[in-house]
Amino acid sequence: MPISKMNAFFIRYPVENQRILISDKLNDYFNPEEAAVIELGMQAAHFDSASPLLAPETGERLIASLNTFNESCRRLGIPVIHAGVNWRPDGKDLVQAGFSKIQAFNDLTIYPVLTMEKGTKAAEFATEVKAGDYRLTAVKRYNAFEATDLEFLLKVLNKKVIVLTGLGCDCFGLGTGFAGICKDYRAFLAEDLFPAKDPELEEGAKRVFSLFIGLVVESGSLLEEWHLQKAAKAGKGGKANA
Amino acid sequence: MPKTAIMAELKKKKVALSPEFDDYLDVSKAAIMEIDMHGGHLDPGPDCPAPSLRGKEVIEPINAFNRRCRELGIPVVHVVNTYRQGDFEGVESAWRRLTEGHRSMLPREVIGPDSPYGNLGLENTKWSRLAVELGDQDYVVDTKKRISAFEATDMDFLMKQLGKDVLVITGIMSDCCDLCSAFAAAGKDYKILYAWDLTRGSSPQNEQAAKDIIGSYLGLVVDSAKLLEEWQAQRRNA
Repeated sequence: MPISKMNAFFIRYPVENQRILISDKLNDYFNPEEAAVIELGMQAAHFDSASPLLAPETGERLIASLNTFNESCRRLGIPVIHAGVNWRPDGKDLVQAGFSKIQAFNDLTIYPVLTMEKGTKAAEFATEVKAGDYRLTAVKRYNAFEATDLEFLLKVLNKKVIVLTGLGCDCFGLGTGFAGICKDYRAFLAEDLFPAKDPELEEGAKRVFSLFIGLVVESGSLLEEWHLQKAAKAGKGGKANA
Repeated sequence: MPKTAIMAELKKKKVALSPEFDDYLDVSKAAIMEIDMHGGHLDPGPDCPAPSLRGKEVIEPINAFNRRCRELGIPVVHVVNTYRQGDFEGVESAWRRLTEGHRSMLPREVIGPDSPYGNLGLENTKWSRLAVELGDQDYVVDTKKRISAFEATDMDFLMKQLGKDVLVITGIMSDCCDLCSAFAAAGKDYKILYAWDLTRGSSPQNEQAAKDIIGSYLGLVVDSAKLLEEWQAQRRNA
């Protein structure tokens, strides 16, 4: 079991408050040396005051919270990968895109925004990108592994655990999470740092993630666990996991 | 323009399809991607490794749908989770790790009897054998190792060889392999039709969630009978 005895959102069997203490059979999810944060959808166009995807205060809070979380991760030596789209200006990246057609048909705001062309302010990351962070800017669809070098990057960094944050757990979160676990990455959804693009779909996305993709946890709990793991490894106690 | 009044559904509302979706409905570009209708989930015996009680409801409807598809010349692809003997390929599947890990935390009266997950999809056993009819001209993609129909399989290759870019998703489970495969297919720009009435998931609530997510981001959620009507009308007018 994790040192901090943290819990996760859980629905497969009936448990109190839909939270379960995480089993020691999942200890390998918690080694901070194997973890990387993949932050999805946090690009300026999505927080543009002219047509934000979230209410402005909510968007600002999300950006601030992610900045704080990312800084904590950097201090722990956990790499932060900012993943976003940079559409080619000639429109060719979007010719066959189903996501824009489907959302337009349903009168939904198209996400990711189609104006985030390479080199534009719209495509810049809304969160702080600091020295040592990685930019994954070739994202084309909701699966951030498709047509990008995300898997290559994770391999060369020797990371086996992906922690998903950002905007759109119901699209980017599921798309990237599903792809990641099919490649046998161990996955987390930071439930307080990854709202859905569509609030009505957030609960369903969280349920699916918890059943089939990975651990749905509070980011603060995960940071605490990583701190304890680091301290244990530094030799302040016996075994790293209880 | 669609030849019939076929509609797409989102969050329990139906909307008529406009001509911009003619390519989604094109019968000549469609293939059926039927997922995991095999004994590992559908065998009636008490030793079924990962029983899908709701999945059994769609065995005969899928058989009937597939027969009509064959008559219309639409290829049927049965995607089957198949593991080599020895329970080493499936053990790291995320759903299995999460489930087995957390079962160990809960009392027996909550989790029920042990499930032999290690038998799921084992090659040359009843737990990887199709529980639906296999037509002479059907295709089988049987190297599925994880919940995506595309990872480690030749599904994408097969579709390219067949010249099909419209994928009609049927099978199980809505909120797991169907949804995952829909995301994977959308990432490769397949046009997705989700024949919702020929899918089942872990619960009605999660089936609805899968339906709404697919309908919002990935493809068109359609009724299989209406889809068949549309295709038949296209064939008649060809």
